[in-house]
Amino acid sequence: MNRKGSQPPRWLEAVLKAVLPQNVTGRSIVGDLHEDFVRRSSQSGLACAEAWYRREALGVIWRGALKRLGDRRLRSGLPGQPRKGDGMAQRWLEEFKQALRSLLRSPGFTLAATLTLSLGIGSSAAIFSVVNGILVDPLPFEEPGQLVTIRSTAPGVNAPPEFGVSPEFSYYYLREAEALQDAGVYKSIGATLRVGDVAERLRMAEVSLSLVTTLRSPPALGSFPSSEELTAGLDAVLISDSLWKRRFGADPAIVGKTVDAADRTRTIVGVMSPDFRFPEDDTDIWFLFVIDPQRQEPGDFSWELVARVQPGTDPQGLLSQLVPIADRMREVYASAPSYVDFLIRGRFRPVVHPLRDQMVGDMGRPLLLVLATVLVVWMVACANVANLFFVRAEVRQHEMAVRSALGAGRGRLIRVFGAEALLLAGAGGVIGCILAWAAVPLLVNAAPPGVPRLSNVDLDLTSLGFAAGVSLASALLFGLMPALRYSSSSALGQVHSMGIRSTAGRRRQWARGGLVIAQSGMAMVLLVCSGLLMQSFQQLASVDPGFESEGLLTFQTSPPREDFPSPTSLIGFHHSLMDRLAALPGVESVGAVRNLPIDESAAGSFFDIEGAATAAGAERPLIYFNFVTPGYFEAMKIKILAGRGFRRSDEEDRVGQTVISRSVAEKYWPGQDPIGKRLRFSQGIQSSWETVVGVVDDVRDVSLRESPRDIAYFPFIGAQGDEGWGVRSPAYVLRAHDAASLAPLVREEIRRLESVMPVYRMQMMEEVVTRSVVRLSFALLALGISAAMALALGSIGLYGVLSYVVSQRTQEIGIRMALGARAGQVRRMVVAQGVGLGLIGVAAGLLAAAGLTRVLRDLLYGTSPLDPVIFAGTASVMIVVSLLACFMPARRACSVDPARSLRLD
Amino acid sequence: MGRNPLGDFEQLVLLAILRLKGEAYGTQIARELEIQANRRVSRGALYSSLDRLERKGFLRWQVAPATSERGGQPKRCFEVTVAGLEALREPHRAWLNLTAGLEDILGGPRG
Repeated sequence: MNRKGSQPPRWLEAVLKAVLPQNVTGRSIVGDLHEDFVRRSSQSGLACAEAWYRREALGVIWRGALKRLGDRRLRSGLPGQPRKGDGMAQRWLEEFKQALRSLLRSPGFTLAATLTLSLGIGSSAAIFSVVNGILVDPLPFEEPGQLVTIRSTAPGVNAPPEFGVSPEFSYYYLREAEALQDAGVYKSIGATLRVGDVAERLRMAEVSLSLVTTLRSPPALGSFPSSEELTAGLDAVLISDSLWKRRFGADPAIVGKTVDAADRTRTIVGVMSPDFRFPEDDTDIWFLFVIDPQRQEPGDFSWELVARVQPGTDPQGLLSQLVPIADRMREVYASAPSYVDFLIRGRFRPVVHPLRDQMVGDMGRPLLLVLATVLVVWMVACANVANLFFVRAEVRQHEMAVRSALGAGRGRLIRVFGAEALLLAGAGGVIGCILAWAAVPLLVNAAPPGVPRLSNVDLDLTSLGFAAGVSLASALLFGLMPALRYSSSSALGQVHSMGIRSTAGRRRQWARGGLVIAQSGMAMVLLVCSGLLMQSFQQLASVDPGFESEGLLTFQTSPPREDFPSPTSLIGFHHSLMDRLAALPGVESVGAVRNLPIDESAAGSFFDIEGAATAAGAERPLIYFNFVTPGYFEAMKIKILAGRGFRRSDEEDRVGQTVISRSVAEKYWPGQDPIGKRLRFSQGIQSSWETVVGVVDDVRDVSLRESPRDIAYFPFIGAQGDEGWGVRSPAYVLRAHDAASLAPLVREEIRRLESVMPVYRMQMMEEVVTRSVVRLSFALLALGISAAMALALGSIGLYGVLSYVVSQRTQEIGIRMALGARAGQVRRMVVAQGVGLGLIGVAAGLLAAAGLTRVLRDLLYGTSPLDPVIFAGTASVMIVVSLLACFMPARRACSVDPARSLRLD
Repeated sequence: MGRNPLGDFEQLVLLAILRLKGEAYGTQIARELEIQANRRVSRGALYSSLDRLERKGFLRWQVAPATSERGGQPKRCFEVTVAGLEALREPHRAWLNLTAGLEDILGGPRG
């Protein structure tokens, strides 16, 4: 916080200055505390001094506030005891005491109101602290506002709408854009760390040296190497604080030692500080390199770029500098025509985002949505308490009238209500904070994997401030309305009509009716939203991904490079492992794949299709490619539609074969038999023709949501010999009768085959699929709970109001019955009133929902935001619930005994 | 004059200021009270006592220039007025009279 020297907490000193009188006296007090702070921090440490300063400064502020209140009392010349009397404060104190007594006299009301409020406030505060931690808190870097990420877009070609950059862009952007202070690239990878006999799969990142300088996070131990050392071939790594403590026993002499990471011996040059988490929360090792466009192959867009802009630069300004630089790349790389072609035809452009947005990812919207829903629940809770207040005020009308007759002014009467409202809100706030404090760790634990920056979430001062604000707002919301209404002079006229209790004044009824309408409306909106999400969830669950995820165990392993240096030796390893796995009890089929669908989607490339016209300007075929072993299609239960899958003999013959997905066949060979046709990679080293030997069904390999892409499958080892693609750490898939129970057996088999080898990401394929709908299930869960709470609170509100109305109308009902009305008629009358309110609420809610459900569009799948079935269904649920809420009061109404009711009072 | 116009704590504050001679400002007064009288005092309480004593006419202060270790803020150096001294004398005399001959029981200075 205060890195340079010891300075008292700046904000507190500012508050102090603002509160104390603006003269020598005030300033000398600030100075005294400052001087003492400096002395204390050098004697007993910064933390101690800060604690002291906080205590003393708050004491001074508190005394100052009391003194001012006292002065005001003296000026206004009110009587009071000279010692204790504190004017305004004293009067409120009295009021609070009385309010407390009066609240304790009606414990039912107090309990109901406090609990309702604490639920509303607690859930808002808990969700707020999550949202605040993930979305609002600044990144843990110096001047986080200056950090941006620069990505790319190429709308002209068949590519994702936005993708990363190639390192050469970072080099030229930094060299030529004046708005940039620094820039670097990174790529997150999973790789194996071997220490002694233990191999561990960890998240690592390749980062350019300029990236760590851009983030301005120097290592806690050691130092960054120079770019000359790196260029000269130093394989330098930085390790995380947690890895240092976990694996190396916090060895203080770690710098300079070597480790075996990602199959190479590398030198540890530094240990990062504990709060350095980048790009993922659990990244443990960073490989450093220097961007050198002369030596690196251009056009590798799998990197992410982070840049630090000059202070005061806006994204538009930066973009206007980057665009011409990106355009000039066509000339720089004129010698690589396919690259230039991609840039020109793709209409390549840079895109700039704040780094924070990039790190939060696509959870932002669902989180804000959840926050909005808990705020709606809070409002429903406030409406409920306001309703309780109305009822209570109604009962206390006589008391108010008497008070007023005895000379209490309007302000006094407002204070009576205000004090009760503030007390209730305060109690609700305190209990709410306790609830939130208990709920936040639960929320963090229950959050689905993939929610970013969770380590940043706790119930901090900001969240407590938010809770305090919400509590105060609650008091205003539910306390002010009744206070104003019942302190007005017309209401006080009641003192004359104390004898006759009849139907309540029309205006007051409307106020309460309005609350009920608002409650049912809000509950309705939440119900509709959760209904839509639920339908989307069902739609997604019934999507056919093209494979069967039940009964499928998957895991990855990574044989050491020194034991299996070539693709040929690797394939031998994979075969022997698969043979052993196939022999396990209950195993039906075994296969392996480089990129497991849903989990890691396949990479894309441009392909040449034999015989297809490659006319100038025509779209070059973009096909995604994956590598699979024999047995993969069988294990995944991906249907083979024509021809055949791979065989072991294909891997031995190495004749260059491929199996394509149905959409490739339909797109490039429509109406023809694709078997025997040929295609080839049009970029890079793989330029031999591959013959189509089979067609398989389409697979959703990105997510359940995204429609299947064009995929070509290749064997692990192809026609290109030992220089080809060695698939070192594929995902194995194992279909078995009771696959989940096989995990320990699989580990055992692998240990027998090769002792020092990590087995990681062992999971059921179903979990992988479930995890991919995390955003939706997260939002669904939160909305479902909120909707249920709103529905419950809303119906309790309706019930309360109707019960009260019935009790108020007892005399009227008695008269009606004495005049011959039948029980059924009375019941209908009461129900009609309740259902009438409910129906207006439902109608209002439906209208609001029709306007609001559009914000859900990102989350919905196969469901229109205005789905009529959902709207009608939830409306009928709401109507049934309001009927139920009317039932009890209606029964009570028709059991009124006319003789008794007329004798009342 | 009837009751003594000074409270216990106010006496201690005045004594501390007298002991500190020209260097009596907030920080130093608090330290002196802590060291000599073993009284840990919150700043809020100290400043309101100083204000009260000033209003009663027992104290006055003048401004000493700002220094960097104070974050550029000035300081108020307090001194005891004649009235203040007078108010101290009475309880002091009473104390001496009442404690005379009781040194054995009460213990020597810093016993």
